Amino acid sequence: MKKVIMAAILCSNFLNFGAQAANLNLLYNDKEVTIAGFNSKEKVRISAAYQDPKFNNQIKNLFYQSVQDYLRSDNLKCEFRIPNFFENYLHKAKLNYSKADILEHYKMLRVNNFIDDILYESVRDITVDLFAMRDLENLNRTEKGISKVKAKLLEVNDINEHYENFRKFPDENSVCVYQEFIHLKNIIFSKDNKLSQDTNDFKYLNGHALYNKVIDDNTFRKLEYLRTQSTITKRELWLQDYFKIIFNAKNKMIPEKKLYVYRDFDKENKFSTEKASRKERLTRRKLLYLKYDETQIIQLATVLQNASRRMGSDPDTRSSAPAIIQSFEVTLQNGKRETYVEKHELDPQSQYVYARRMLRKDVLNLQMMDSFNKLKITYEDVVMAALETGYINFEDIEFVITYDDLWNPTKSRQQKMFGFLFDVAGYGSFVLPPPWNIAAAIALGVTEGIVESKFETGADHDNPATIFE
Amino acid sequence: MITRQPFLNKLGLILLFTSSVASAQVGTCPKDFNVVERNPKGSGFTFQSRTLEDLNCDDTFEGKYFKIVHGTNSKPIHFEHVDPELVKKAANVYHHLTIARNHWVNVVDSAYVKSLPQITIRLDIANTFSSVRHFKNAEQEKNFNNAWTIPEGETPKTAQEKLKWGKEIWFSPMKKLESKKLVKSDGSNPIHQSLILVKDPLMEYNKNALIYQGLTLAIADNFKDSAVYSNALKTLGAVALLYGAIEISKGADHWFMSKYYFIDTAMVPEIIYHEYAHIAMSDTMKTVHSVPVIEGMADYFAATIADRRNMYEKLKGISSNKGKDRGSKMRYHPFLEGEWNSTSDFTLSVLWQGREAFEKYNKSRQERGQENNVDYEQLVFHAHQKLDENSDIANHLTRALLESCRDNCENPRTGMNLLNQVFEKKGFN
Repeated sequence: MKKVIMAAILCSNFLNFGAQAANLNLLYNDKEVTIAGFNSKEKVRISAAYQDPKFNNQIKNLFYQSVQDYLRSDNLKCEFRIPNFFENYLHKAKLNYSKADILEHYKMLRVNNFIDDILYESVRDITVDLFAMRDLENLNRTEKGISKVKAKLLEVNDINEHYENFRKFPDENSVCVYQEFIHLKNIIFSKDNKLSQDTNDFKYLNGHALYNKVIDDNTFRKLEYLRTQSTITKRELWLQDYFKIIFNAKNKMIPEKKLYVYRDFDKENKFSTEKASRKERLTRRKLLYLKYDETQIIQLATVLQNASRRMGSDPDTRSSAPAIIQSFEVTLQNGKRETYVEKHELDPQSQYVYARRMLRKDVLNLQMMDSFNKLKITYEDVVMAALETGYINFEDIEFVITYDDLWNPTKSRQQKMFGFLFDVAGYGSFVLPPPWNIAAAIALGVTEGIVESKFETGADHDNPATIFE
Repeated sequence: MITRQPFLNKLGLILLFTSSVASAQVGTCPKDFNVVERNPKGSGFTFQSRTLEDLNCDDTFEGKYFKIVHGTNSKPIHFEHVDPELVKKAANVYHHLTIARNHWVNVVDSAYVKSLPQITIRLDIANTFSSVRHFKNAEQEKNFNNAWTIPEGETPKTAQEKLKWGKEIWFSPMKKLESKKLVKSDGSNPIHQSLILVKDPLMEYNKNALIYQGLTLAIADNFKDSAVYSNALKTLGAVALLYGAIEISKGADHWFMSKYYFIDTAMVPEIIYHEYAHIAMSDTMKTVHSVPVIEGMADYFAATIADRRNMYEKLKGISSNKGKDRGSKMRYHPFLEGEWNSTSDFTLSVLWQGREAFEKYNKSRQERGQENNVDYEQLVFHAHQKLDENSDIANHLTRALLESCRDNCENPRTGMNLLNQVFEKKGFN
């Protein structure tokens, strides 16, 4: 099993999108059934506005070319390059290329599944920032810095050193805006000499840097914009990391025997675009991209592949019935030793249960690996990784998601409520005088028996012939 | 005598032509008879006129595929047989066998069934089967209220009388038997079952009550006179009563069964479908043993033809049988593998639950514009090819179904997982 994982990791490491042309078809969205970036009304409006498939395809090609150019560039942290390239391509093709046009084009790309939600939201936000920067550049306004000295803050933050790369605003060629901004944000210390969590410290230092002429008015405006209005401070996934997953993990484990081709994408399982939990604001797919890198995603998907092989349901594998083999060396009365071997072949349902138990163990083994340190792997992550790598398809999800019911059974609200009620009523009946306590117990017993039998599932049943349950 | 060759050739051709016309005419004499048609629900039925197809034109119940005979006879029953009840039975068996065969040929598309030669059906046969003599002497052992399928065979080489026979279905005569004499009460009645159901929660309660009373005992002044003492006694009394009631109710099975047991197997449509299913699957599942897998598979195909939830159930004046429930909630226990449990409805209910699950799942696929993952009928049919008379339920039947899905399902993973879910619901794990 380790060999399989290592092979997958090596494969994924060798796939690089530097010099070689990346397979841009992987940008096509075949994972997110619903659109999170905008509502269904907007989807209808965009569909109506972009009815010419030839035109749509032209826009798609220009966008894909922009991504290709970005991927070939030396520093992938310079994310403004994508909207820059796209704008240039639109201009060359004599198509509209204003901010509003570009944002509309992005929506069309998303509606037609030429890109997914993660890329849509990223390029949208980057484009908004890019145009905002340009607008700020053109403002001929003198900004007021902060002259007041906060001695303790200035003691722990060296303005000249911190703002060195902002003396000249990053040009997106040798120095990247986002990279430098995040770096600056992360090296600011608070007055008690700890990394600052207070944005006011940043605000003060920006103002002070301007006052001391370390940065100019334009840079100050841009930094303040990035600090207060840009989504960059909330972004957790860089395009570079996104593309690493796209080109090194996405659809890398599609079975040779392809089993399922969706006909109506909108009607497929929405697992990937559902919120990961009630408290979680991210969808399952976005969470996967944030939590794991491409290697980890392949490792997670391999866990499910192994389980599937053990079950005998992997499309490319013929599996034998699993067997437990034990050998015994018995010393006989005459002192001789005799060896015999006992082989117990598992029945199909035990095989199914065994594969699920091993799946849990495999997840635990992954969790113990250094590369997964501080990451809490959930079973849903495993399913999502398998979907991302193409090992499972939309139809499989409904079944695969129930594998963890063995160790994580779902109890309905009704079940929980009845359990509590019977407990309370049962203890309450102790205080009744005879014969009412007996009568109450009989009534409770009958009711509980009836109610419990309604909730009983096949998994609760005890089959004495099985050794895996 | 000198005979010219061209003349002989002509004669041969004329003879061939007349015989082929005659044989063509044999299958072209359909005739109407009254047969049993069950009411959709309950034990009611009506006799309805149906046309028997493919009958030879000799006024007997012999056709291209079936020959209906009486007892150990070899000649087919004549339409004008002296016993009108026998004619009624013959017509009923012939009609329902035709339905069964059509299903296997047209729906299941079984090449084996298509290739089967005419089979003999024996009505009112009380003899039992002998693999070396065909019939055991009726004096040795008699059979009533039963039906079974027998394999083809022949007498040993050493036997004086050389006999050869093909696959046959036998329907024995009906006989009213007193149920009390047949059945030993073992608690298979609703009172006993209900008491078993409440036993555990009641015992749990009483155990807790005794613990509670035991705690209050510690603060009681006078043990014997205390309310604690009398309460504990009452609690123990309730336990004793419960166990007594359980033991007594064990013997109450007779209160819940018909006074007489009887079944005229040749008149019950599902039994006819069931027996024909044995013939249809006899390419791999030899009909020498009555084992739960073979019986369950035959039940399943009979159920698809009859389309009734309660198979073989009571039929007024014809059968007092209890029947099998295809929707039975029974869960797996190794005891169900025993030959004595071949009459259980467990295997049928496993296969039927699979059918319902696949129907639902295929429907959801259709809504997404997909083809059915598999035709479940074909899945079960192909599974039978991986089974034989030694197959059990938990190992072989379930594996045969999974392998059949692996070979025939569009998306084997989901199909196999769905089967595993069905097996889980039926308590295999």
